[in-house]
Amino acid sequence: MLGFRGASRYIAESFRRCFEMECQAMRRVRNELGLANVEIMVPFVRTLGECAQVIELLAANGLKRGENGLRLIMMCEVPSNAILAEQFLEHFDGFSIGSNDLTQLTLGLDRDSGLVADAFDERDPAVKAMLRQAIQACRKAGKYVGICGQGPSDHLDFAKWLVHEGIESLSLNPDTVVETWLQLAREADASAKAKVAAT
Amino acid sequence: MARLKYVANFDRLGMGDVERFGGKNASLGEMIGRLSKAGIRVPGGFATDAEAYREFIGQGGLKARIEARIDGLDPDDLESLASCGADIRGWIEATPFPEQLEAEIAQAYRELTGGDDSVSVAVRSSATAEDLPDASFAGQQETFLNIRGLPNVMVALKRVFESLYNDRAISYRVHKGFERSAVALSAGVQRLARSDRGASGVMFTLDTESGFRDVVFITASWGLGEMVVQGAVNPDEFYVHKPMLRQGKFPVIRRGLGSKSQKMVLGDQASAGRSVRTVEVPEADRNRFCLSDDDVVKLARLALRIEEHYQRPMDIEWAKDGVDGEIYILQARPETVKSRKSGDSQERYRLKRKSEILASGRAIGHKIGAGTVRVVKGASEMGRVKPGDIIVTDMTDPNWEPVMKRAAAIVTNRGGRTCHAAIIARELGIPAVVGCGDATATLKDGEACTVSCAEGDTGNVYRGILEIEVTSREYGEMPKCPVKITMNIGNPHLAFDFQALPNWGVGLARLEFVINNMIGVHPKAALEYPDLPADLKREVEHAARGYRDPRSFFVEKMTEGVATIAAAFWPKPVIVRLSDFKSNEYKKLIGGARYEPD
Repeated sequence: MLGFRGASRYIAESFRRCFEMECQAMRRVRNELGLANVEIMVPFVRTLGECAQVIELLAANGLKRGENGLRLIMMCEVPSNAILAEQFLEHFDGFSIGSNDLTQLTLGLDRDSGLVADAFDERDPAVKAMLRQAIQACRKAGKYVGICGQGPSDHLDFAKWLVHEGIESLSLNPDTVVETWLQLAREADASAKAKVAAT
Repeated sequence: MARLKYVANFDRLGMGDVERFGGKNASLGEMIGRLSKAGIRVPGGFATDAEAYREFIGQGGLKARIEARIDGLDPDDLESLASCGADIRGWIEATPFPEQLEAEIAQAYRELTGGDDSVSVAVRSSATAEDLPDASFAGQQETFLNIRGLPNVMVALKRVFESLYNDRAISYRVHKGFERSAVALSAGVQRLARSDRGASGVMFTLDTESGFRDVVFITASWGLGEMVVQGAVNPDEFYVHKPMLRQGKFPVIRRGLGSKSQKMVLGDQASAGRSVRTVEVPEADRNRFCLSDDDVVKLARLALRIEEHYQRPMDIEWAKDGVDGEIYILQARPETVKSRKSGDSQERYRLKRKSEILASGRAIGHKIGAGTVRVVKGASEMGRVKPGDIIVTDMTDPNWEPVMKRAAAIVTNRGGRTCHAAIIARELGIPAVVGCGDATATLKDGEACTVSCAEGDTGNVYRGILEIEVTSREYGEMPKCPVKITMNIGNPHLAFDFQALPNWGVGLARLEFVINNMIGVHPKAALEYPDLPADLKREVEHAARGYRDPRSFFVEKMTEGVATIAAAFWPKPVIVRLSDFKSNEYKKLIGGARYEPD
């Protein structure tokens, strides 16, 4: 889980030409095929140094933020990302929270290890504190904030909490879309009615 | 041509002539008349009308004899169906054409060929109850290709008349409840497009699996189109995104290389029955796409114009003439299955557990079927199929339709997404896995299996009867949601389905499925080709078939995976995460062990 992955792989000299192919594909989709609705997301950015380098590398490969409307999103999945959210966000158009890795790294456990897997819970107060920090930083900066981890697909209460915290979007597994949508709408409706009743 | 009584040149026909000339011929006339200015090329020809058929069948009490023979027939009793059909066809063959009809055919034929008897024509039926929006009649009547000379044309026309009474046509009409006497037949005689030296296929102005309307789906194989229509080959497949085509961008979002192992070419003789033959396709041609990107775009443009003209989803047969290099449209009819479905309900099948995979091919439909395998070698063995069995065979043709409706699922060795088995399975709503290659060998007669089409593009046949879960929900207008709901998508092949759910776009499109399943090659192995050890080099070469070199294969496949998801949800935002493999995951790819640390 903590190996050679994400941004650190892209900027490594040994992977550079591989990453070029990936960038070429993204350019082709956005520019030649015209599918400029594609936004690009960078996973697993450990440090601000990696962050600056990967942004520069993308630009060198024809994927410059803002060009042809290109939006760059960063996965927020390492605790450092939440802790230094404001600084990371200077380079990106927003965060998509990877709650799986963020939970593992905040609680210091590896989900693949059966002995500690039970302790995995996105709703742990420490994880929620991280999430709150990240969401607030994005909102303050006027940037996109969504979540694409498994959490809100699995736990409706967690989805509700995220909505309450002001998250902009929940990215769900397709099979839970309709159900979650209806539940959240019902909830919002009920609390609106409760407010009206109270006044 | 002077106005004739029974025969008309295609250019005089239009959609108002369906009753007299049948859907196919009327549609050809409509395209020649209204769409040639828009660049639609349809080979010229002429047709006999329904009255000609009625006049013919009315001679000497033939019609009354036929109706009496069909009356009381149980279409599910396959033996009496066969003997009934054989009797009727014999009577038709023995009856000559009325004199005036024969003279008019001769005149129209001379005008079509300019007296040159070496000109090849195709002779086809166009039943007047055929191709109605609720019945595809897939391959219902006969087609005779490469017919030359008037005597041969006459024989082929007679055979077309007979085809209205082949077993499957009788069975189909009795089942669907078409009034027997109301069905008449128009026969078309059309210059043959020389795709025997080019390629041909079928295209749809929607995705035939999901019903997604923003794409043109094209299938293509070498040689005459009958091989694709019959499903005798696994064709190349292409998806073209309509909105980007309209904007003048490069709109090809996905390609799939088919095996295309055989093709139909012209035979030595010019008479019905021996005028075409099937030959093996050389390996080099199998391993490349039979259409260039330019041709794919050209075809999609034609499809779009045809759809715009008819104002509905269309099913179009096309041919690329290898002699003059032009693309011809041979047929256009309304798509009959997906366009009837409404989009706001959701039925999902899911396997609760999996077992050993015994065969895999192209998934047709989204369902899962389970039952006892019947390996059926030919039409003569069809009687062995009991209700709820899984039909396993090399390929199906229209003669199989009476038993196909009994099956829990259909599995074939050969055929692509638009083959006969696929079209009928879709129409019947039963799962089918086509083009498995070796299903008749790997599946054993009498064993219990589960056929799953619920896992995307690839359909799998599993050992044993597996437990499944079916969820269905209807949703009308969605209420206002306090947050934007987006989706996580990994498998691009499911994107056309998922876009139909209520959504604000894609919050996470993963590349890992694309790299694992559509590419399968480690990026460094693609880059270092050709300087790889011999066996690894061969593996990489094999994976990259159809593309310029392994590097462009890697880039293009990744482009296709991302573009498919982006097109499915266009213009909503699609957030694509750059590759997020860990070392151990990269290691599993072809060449991975060579490049990844332990």
